[in-house]
Amino acid sequence: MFQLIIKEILSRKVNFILALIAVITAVAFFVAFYTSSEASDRETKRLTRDMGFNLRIIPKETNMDNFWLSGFSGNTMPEEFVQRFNNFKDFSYAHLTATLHQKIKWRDMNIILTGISPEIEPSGKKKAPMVFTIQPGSVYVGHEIAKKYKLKKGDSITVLDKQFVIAKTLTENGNTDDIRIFAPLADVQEVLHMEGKINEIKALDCLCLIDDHTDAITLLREQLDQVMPEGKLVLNQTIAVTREKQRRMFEKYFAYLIPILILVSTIWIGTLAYLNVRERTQEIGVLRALGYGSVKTALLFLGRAFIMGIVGAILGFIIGTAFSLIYGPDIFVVTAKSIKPIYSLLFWSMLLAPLLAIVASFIPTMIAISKDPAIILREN
Amino acid sequence: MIEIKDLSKVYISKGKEVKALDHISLNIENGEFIVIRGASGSGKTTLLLVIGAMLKPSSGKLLFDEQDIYNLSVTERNEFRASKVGFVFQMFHLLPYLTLLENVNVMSLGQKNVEAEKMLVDLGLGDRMHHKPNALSAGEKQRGAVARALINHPKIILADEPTGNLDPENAEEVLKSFVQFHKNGGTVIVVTHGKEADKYADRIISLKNGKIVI
Repeated sequence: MFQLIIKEILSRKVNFILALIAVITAVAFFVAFYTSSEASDRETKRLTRDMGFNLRIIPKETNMDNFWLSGFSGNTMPEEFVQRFNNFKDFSYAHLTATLHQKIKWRDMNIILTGISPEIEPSGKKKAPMVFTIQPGSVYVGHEIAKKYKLKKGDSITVLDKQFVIAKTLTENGNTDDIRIFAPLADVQEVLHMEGKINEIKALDCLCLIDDHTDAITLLREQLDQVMPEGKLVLNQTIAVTREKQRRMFEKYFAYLIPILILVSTIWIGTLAYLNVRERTQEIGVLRALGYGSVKTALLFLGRAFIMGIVGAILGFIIGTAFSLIYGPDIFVVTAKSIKPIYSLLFWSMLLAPLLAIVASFIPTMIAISKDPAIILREN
Repeated sequence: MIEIKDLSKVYISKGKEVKALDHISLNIENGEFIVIRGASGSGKTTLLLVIGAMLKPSSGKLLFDEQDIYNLSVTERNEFRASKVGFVFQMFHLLPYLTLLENVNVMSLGQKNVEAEKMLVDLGLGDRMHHKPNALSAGEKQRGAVARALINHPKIILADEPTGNLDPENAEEVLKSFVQFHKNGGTVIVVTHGKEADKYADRIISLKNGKIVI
């Protein structure tokens, strides 16, 4: 039977190739889109992450007037609060960093001294850190401070009686970071005599765990209440909305485009399969006369569709992946190097493309086997 | 032995009943060479398809060696056709994408079939067996179709206008191959307009308006 199918395919190449193009197109689009969407997702994550933290957890008793006026909470909370997030799985908080901010007079400038801790992830997941890690005894100096005092990397400075080495001078940010000195949390706690205290936990919300229908801030506040009822959540809406829009954009394109593509391909393959059945009417009659049953006759057409699906899946995967690798880097500049073939898509393509071709050929196949061979032969 | 008992076949055409076979009764002995003759629409092809287990009659019975063929399941009827019946058609109906040898061997494609090759050589098609039907003459195609009908050693050959598209010389070749099958004990039923098969027939049956006329 396999030989009969292959010989028929080789004999009616045009019909087969036209239908094959439909399968290849569907698979190639799917593979290219998915591979690119992965890159887009990574790029979006990277770009939006670079926009900074969008969640700020502050002590519940914080006076918000003062908070907004000074830029941080005047109250403190225990540093170990941040460790509580370690025990929660599937939490919508990521990149949690304990911080301590205090306005101080340094030389003749009013600056903010900020202590930052290494990031922690809920349930101990490993993620690339968002903030810099500062070695003990080192500081990062904001742009305005470095400019005013002509400070540079390697210089030694004293902050509240403690000696620090400048590990880095920051570029101009256009915000309060320009008048900050960043140091390890423990060092800042020491110089401020506030051991074990923090006044803010910064974090990023994890959109992957929030669906379209859930109000993000409600969910985030519910989760915070579970883990840290002593805290209050402030959400930077601008960054949050931008991140969410960007992250959802590709998913939405995917959700609309792929079903349309599958529908068009199914109609295309089905039409060609029907033409194939029409062309082979006499053949169906003869094969039935020779003893082919309806199952065997159906397998002739479905087997053809299966082969079309397998060949289309392999070629579509190669073309879709090649397209992503060639054109992807121009589109996704930030994550260009991380655009790689996703080999699991080959498996899924080889599973789904034959299924698509078989489904598309199903009605024509039913037409073929429902043809009365006696009528075909009598009419001929 | 084939026993046809009070068999009728009614088609519905444009809302009207058309009686293709009208209460036919007929016995055909094993090894007989029968010619069924009649004008177009007389029911010849319908009768042939009913005998070949292809077309269920509206009423009546068809017994093949005392077995009611239309009491068999569809699968059993397919097996019956594959093992006991050989069909030959006026339009040859060779599969266009297979070579002549592959057409003869279509039920077991991919397996070497020495008998199929020998059969084609015996039919004078030794040098044509690897050609596709579009490279063959009408006579060659029909001899190939005869080989396909004979390859499974059927008990009966059912031929529908087998010489209708052939010149007299090729028509004779085809009929001679039926005669050979008949001599070896096979039953042959040929449906035809013409008279070229008459000389080989044990019996000639005429059909008119779905009825046997003497």
